[in-house]
Amino acid sequence: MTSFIIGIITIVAIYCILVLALNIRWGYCGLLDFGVAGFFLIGAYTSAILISAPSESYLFGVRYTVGYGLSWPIGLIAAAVTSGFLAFIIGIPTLRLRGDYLAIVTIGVAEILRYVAINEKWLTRGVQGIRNIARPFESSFPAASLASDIILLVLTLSILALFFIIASRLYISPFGRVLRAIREDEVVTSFLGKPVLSFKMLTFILGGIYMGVAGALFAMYVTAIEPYQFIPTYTFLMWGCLIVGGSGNNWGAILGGALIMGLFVQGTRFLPSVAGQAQLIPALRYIAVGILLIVVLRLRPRGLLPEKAIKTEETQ
Amino acid sequence: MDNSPRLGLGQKRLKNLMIYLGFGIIAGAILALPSVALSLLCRNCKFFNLAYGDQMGLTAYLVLLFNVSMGLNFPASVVLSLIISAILGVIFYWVIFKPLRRHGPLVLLIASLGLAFVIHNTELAIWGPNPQKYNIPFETGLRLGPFIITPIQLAVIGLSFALTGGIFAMLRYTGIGRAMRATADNLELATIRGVDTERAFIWTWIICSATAGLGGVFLALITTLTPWTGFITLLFLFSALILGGVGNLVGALVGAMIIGIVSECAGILSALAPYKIAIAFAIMFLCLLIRPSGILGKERGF
Amino acid sequence: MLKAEGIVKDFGGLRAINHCSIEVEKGSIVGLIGPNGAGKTTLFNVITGMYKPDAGRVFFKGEDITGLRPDQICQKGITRTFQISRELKIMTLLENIMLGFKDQRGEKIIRGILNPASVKEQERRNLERSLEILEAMKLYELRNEPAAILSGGQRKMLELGQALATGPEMLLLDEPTAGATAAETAMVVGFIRRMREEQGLTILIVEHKMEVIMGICDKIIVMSYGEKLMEGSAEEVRQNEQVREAYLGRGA
Repeated sequence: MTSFIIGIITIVAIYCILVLALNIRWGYCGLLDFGVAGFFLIGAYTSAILISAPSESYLFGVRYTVGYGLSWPIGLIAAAVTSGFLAFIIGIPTLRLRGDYLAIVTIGVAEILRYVAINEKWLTRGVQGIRNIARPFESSFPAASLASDIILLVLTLSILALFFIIASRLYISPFGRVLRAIREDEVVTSFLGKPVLSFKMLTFILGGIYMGVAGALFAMYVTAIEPYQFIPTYTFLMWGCLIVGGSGNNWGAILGGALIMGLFVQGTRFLPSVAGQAQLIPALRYIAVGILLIVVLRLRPRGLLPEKAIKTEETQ
Repeated sequence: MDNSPRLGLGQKRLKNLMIYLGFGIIAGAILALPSVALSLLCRNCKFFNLAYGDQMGLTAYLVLLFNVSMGLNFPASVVLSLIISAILGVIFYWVIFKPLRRHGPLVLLIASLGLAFVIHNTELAIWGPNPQKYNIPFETGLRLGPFIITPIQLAVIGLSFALTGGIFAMLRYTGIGRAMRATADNLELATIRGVDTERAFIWTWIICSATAGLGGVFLALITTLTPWTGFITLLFLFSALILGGVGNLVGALVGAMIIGIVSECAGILSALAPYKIAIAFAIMFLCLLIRPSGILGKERGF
Repeated sequence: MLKAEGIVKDFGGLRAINHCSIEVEKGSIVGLIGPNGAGKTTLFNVITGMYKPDAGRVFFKGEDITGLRPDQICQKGITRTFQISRELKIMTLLENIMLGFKDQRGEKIIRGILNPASVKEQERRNLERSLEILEAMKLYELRNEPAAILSGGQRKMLELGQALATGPEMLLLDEPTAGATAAETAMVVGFIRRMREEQGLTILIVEHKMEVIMGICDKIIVMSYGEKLMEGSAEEVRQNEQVREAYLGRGA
């Protein structure tokens, strides 16, 4: 039972990192990112490929080996780097354009990454996925043990706390001030001498780094990843969390993540599934989130915890 | 299939290319009608409707409901489903998109994503993830040069182009078409001049939703129908829209044909075969890098 | 100080600016007037980088700044305000002003996160200066309120304050007294004078209120249909036949 609860807190914390990242992109800077699952995927797979034990995969009869068995910090850092780099590549053409274009491009990129994961078996083992992803200190604490779960929980919460602090400090900093200005009126901000594109790009990359690290943590949490875990549904859920919790507010991001991911997705596991319709309960959960998103947008668009106004003198 | 042993390799390749080209034209035709309608919707309502693909899928599933589950004949199922689709479109407008209009296009985008999500999961809940087929008589294909094509596929292509033409005609020659154009060009000015902009919006949603529905049915007839069909088609549609130039209907048509042909022809290289979406997207990505306004588009989008 | 030579700008089939050349001497206050649609705001937009001219060049302090981005032009020393004031409504007045300062170390992402003493120090100094500016504009009490609550005239003042914060050498003001009360107008005029006298700013100002223009401008440039009609002192402009025709024909 303890293990179960620890597990839930860990996965909810991982999702909270994602929502936090989304808040940095959308809540701070107004960047519309519908490709969260893609950054998550790239972080997870990068980490998995690097740290899992070598295993075989076959493509057109040729045998490939996937997995390098490296240690977990390398996995985390590599995940951060690839995800940040992906953000950079996507950002170059799209951050110059209107926000809607970024939305569409990110949706597509996320899906294409998933297709790559499915088809490029030599790299990702395709739909079989990558198994036996090592957890931190696995030699001393085997993956199935309570100790391993606790270690991962501590690691995840530490990273979440660190990311939270970074995000909060950024919000009240002059950098954050420029982001909020960009969000409201890009043109005016530009005329005040701020190179808007650079600010957007840095924000986008930072969000990417967060999401990549979350992906790496996810890979270690589930110890076996496969492409279906990164469908657009998860992007959408993160948006639901952010909108409901309150975009622009980091505590709102955490609250939304905890609320929706904690209750809706994990909590309803306790409901009996309707016989013969395995799809029904999960789909109903998602439908509920979708409707909740629309309702919140209409009735209380700022979410549960609205953005805090800044009293500049107090932050000195 | 080629069963003539005396054809040389070059001619075989050419025949192969022709077949893929044929697939491409069919794909383009299927994309054409929804592309133009989506372009119209986006231009009139000033935001990218991400639920459009799922509106297509939903109608296709409704036809399934009437045709397969309730045993209604195919044409009647289609008509009934189109009517429901149009009504649903207006409901979406009234309940979701009109009240949120004041928040701007980005919030409308988020809301449309939410709607797409709800529709997708409703389909998943009711019908499950497996591909579905309609209750229609099986047809043998006719031979047209190197192609084998069924009467239904021919009908779909023909109807697609005809209805696309119909949309252009409506915009140019009817009163409601003029109202739509005026509303899209300059909402304030149109309102001042006494154009019934609300009516323009409602008819936009009616026409574009019904067209989405028809497009969805065509799609289900020629390819498969799963809860993912709508969303995947959406990606192709937006690639077509951006390639042709956002806000430009002819551009959407051109974009649809190009995307259809190129992504199907990419299947010639077997390594690329599963990546049709990626090809469509790569085209769109390149387009945004080089010429964001698209082939025929104006500089500022809508 | 500022020289625009032979500017041409077309939009689609319409020629908004037709071979217009203007010059603004350092430390002067120059007025730019003309009926609606004469191309005044478009000229501002070309000078400050919002549009690239189809022909012609813009020089600032001898340097060619044609085609630079708006943020680059601001960094060079030219700041502009907008006809319909575009202050950032959700942010507080204080934040609006603080945003304007150039070379803020805290705007670099790493320094922003770490918030070292150098950033704190600079923020403190900017804060003091912002409070001074707000006080001069009689907006000090509202400093922590979102800018959305301001009246039209107050918004213009805030925008002016924001522009001042950028530490410009030249200001391009687009109708700074639009929507302002008589008292506010007088305050703006006073400010403009002070900025020239105390800080040596060069100012180019688009205005429709004749008394404002006639009162403070060393030189007035008149535009009509995208061209420079004439330029001269307030008296010369007032007497000029063509100018009268241009205005009578269309109304200011």
